[in-house]
Amino acid sequence: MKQKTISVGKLTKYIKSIFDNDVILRNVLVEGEISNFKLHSSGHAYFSLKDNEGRINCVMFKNVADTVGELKDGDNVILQGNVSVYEKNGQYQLYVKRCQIQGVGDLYAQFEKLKEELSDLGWFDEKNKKSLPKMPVMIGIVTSPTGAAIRDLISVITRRFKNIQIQIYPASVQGDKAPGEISKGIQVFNTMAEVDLIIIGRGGGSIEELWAFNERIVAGAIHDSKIPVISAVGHETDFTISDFVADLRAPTPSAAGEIAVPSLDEIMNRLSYFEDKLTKNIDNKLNVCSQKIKNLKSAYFFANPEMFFIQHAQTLDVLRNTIVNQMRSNLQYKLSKITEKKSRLEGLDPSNVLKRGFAAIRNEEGMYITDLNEIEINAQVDIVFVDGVAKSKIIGKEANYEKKHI
Amino acid sequence: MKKNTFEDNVKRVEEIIKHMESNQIPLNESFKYFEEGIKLIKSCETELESTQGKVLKLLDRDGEITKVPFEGEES
Repeated sequence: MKQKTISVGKLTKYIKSIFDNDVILRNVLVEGEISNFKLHSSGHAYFSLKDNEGRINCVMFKNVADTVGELKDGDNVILQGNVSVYEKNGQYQLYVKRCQIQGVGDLYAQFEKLKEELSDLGWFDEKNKKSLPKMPVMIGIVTSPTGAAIRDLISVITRRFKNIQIQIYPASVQGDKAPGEISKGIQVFNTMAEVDLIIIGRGGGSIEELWAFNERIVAGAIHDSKIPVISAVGHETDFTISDFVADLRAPTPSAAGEIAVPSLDEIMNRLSYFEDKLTKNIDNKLNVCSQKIKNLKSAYFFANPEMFFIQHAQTLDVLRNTIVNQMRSNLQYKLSKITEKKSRLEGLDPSNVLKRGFAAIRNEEGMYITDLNEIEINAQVDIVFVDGVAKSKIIGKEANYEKKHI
Repeated sequence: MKKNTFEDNVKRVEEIIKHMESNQIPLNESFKYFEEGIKLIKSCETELESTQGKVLKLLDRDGEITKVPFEGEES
């Protein structure tokens, strides 16, 4: 029997027409988990929908993808669309027209609602954020004691700063108990008041697994904490309410470790840099001072001390001359005064008067008589001449003789 | 919170350096600052070296907290 051959293209078209004409395949609702999600730069999304029993390739064009929230592997979704064949590779796939994220959609809405509410309360405001200690002495960590997060945190922190003290408050980080335990941990650290920094967090996971960090009770505990809080939840791309309320968001737990403590080596370097600076500074000061002293030493006075004495000696000489001259002129003045007085005194010498022909009368007691009343009739008197004495006797007195005869 | 003397000390050293660099202070005062700075640096270093790093786990039994060493736990 000779059968007619047809081209691959025609066969594919035929198969495609069967899919396209099938009542069920033309409009299906199918539920499953997204995997291998790829968002092409064109905006179209390609992924598989799977469950325990099967898998189907899906394509969601940009116009649909834009109306759906962010999708990622692990999301549980209900897709509506038609199943058809992509002729180029001969594969059948679901062309998604609508997509509803199961559960997560509700969570997303909750997240947005709480975020808006807390934002309105000012809980995310930068001005309310506490600054982290540069050098925490003791760090409190609220996380699961068995998770990857605690291992990463301890290893990063102790690698950077081996002498740090860490206290762990073990808390579930997913499930119903998690929000209560995480917020309790934050409160306990605040009550004990021993740590100076709190890190809360966990490793990566689905939005449901990270959900505890989107709960209001956790946000409240962070907001009420007097001690600065770092939130380190999941991966770089995961954002939680905790991250927004916390004083600092670390992209991952390891990053939180890097942010929380400085490297001991860096600190030691910084300290020796300080020491260096101090020493250099004081050295500089000393140099400046010794230069000043040098300058002073070379100053005129210290360089030529004898000049100082010469000058003073000169001054003394001048003073001495002045004194001597002054003394001399004083003496001369006095001498001239004395000479003058002497010649005046000489003018008063009685012998000079006697020489001119006058005589003086002296009574018996040797006193010179100047008044007629001092003398009695018959008194013995001496008449004193310049060259001798004449012994005489008063024989009579007559007043006012002088007026008549001289 | 434990008093963080270390951070205060480092801050003080920074102040001292700034002061010594920016101000015309007499030599004898410079020596005082220098001495204080070096003393603080040494005490910071001693503090760093003497602190014993340790990791503790808090056990919360109805609000009663006890501390036990944390050795790492398997999940």
